[in-house]
Amino acid sequence: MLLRASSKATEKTVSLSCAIGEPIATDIEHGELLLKFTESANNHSPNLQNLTEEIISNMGEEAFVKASSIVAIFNGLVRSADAIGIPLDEVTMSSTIEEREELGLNNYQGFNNS
Amino acid sequence: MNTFKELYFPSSESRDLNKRLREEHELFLSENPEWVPNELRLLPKVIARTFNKMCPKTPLMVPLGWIDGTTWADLNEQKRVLSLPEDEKIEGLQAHKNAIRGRCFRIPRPYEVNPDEAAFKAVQEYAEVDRRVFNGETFDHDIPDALLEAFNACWERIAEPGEWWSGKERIAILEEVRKDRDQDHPKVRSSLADLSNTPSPVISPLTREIVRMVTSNAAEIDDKWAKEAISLIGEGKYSELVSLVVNIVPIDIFCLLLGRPVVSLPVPKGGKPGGTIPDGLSDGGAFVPWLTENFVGPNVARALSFVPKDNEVRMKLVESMYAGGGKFISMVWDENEPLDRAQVEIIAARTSSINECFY
Repeated sequence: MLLRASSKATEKTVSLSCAIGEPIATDIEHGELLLKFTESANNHSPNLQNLTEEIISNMGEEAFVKASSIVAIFNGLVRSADAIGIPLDEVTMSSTIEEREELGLNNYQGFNNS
Repeated sequence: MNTFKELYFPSSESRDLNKRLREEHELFLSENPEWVPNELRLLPKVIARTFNKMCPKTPLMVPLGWIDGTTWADLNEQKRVLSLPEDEKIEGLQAHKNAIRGRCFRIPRPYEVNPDEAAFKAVQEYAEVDRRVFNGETFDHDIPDALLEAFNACWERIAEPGEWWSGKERIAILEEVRKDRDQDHPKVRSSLADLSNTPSPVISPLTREIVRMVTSNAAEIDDKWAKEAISLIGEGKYSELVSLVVNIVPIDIFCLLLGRPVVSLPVPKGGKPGGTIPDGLSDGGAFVPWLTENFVGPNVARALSFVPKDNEVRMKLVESMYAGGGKFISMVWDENEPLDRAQVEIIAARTSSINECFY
């Protein structure tokens, strides 16, 4: 929901399916590079070093540090949500019916807690 | 100021104090064989263990941190002296300083340097070492102060006794998190009911299995498994265990992504768990009770309100690494931010999806 809201607020288009690994269609600056980095950082793939260098040279060192911190903190947040069984907030639940269906998010175990 | 005599011939008071501190420190090392002073925090544990074991048995060998006065016993002595009344404090600090000076042969300055001379300034700057566990010098990239502060606050907290686990148990849980990260994960997991809940040696096999599940298979946690785990160890222990996992995982991942080793776990502090259940908790649809009275905000912020001190550390991490307060609500961020909100959310969404997190 925050991806949709933030891209809308900055008048950028983004296909939400990129969140589940499908090819990205977006005009978010460096969106494709950031997604590749995210995949690689989460899956410990060997090309992480190359992507790190690419982010630093195209977007700067600060952007790399921020991207790393987002990957890292969301690895904590997802574990909090799943281990504590956080139900989805009501507003988010009612405003994301179509997206969840389309992206297959309702198949995740966590859906049963909401 | 040390006298010339004191530099070469420590007084009997200094020798007595050194004898006591050395004994206290060696006793501490026998129980904490991997301990190293903060400045050597990146030293591999195996080297620290070997050194600490050899030290008391080897002539002329001194413990790590002994010459600089940064041993565990020295830090404790400093704390003790600082709690004394003012006049005794000044005297105590000087006595401790003299004792440290007398621990090795030091070459005195040939003359007193003037405070505005370059040599004096160089010595002063060299002495200003950032002794925090996480400091900018240990990273190859510039790290925002807010992140370093949040990491240090977390490290400080994890060593303390919690509300439901002792300091020693908390560190054992965190060691298990790291072990699990480096191992292949079995597809068939042990049934919780079959596992012993007797400490072996610090935490039980049951606790270890819960740690593994939260660390590596959190997406598979369902109502049945969570209720069973909670019924076996209790809501408090379960919540605190989750808080420990979710606080250390981001810090370790961040260090690894930035190409540096993870930081050694701190030495646990003594004390018993408080066992306090905070006011205002009730069933809010999660596996454990959480804050329901006067709560405004996203559910994720109150997820661990059963353990408020650890939750506070977690939220500090979230605020410094992601966004907090007004920044979280705003969908358009300041242009000076290294990434705009949509760029951040694309990383967040993909990471959540890779971890199969519905929330």
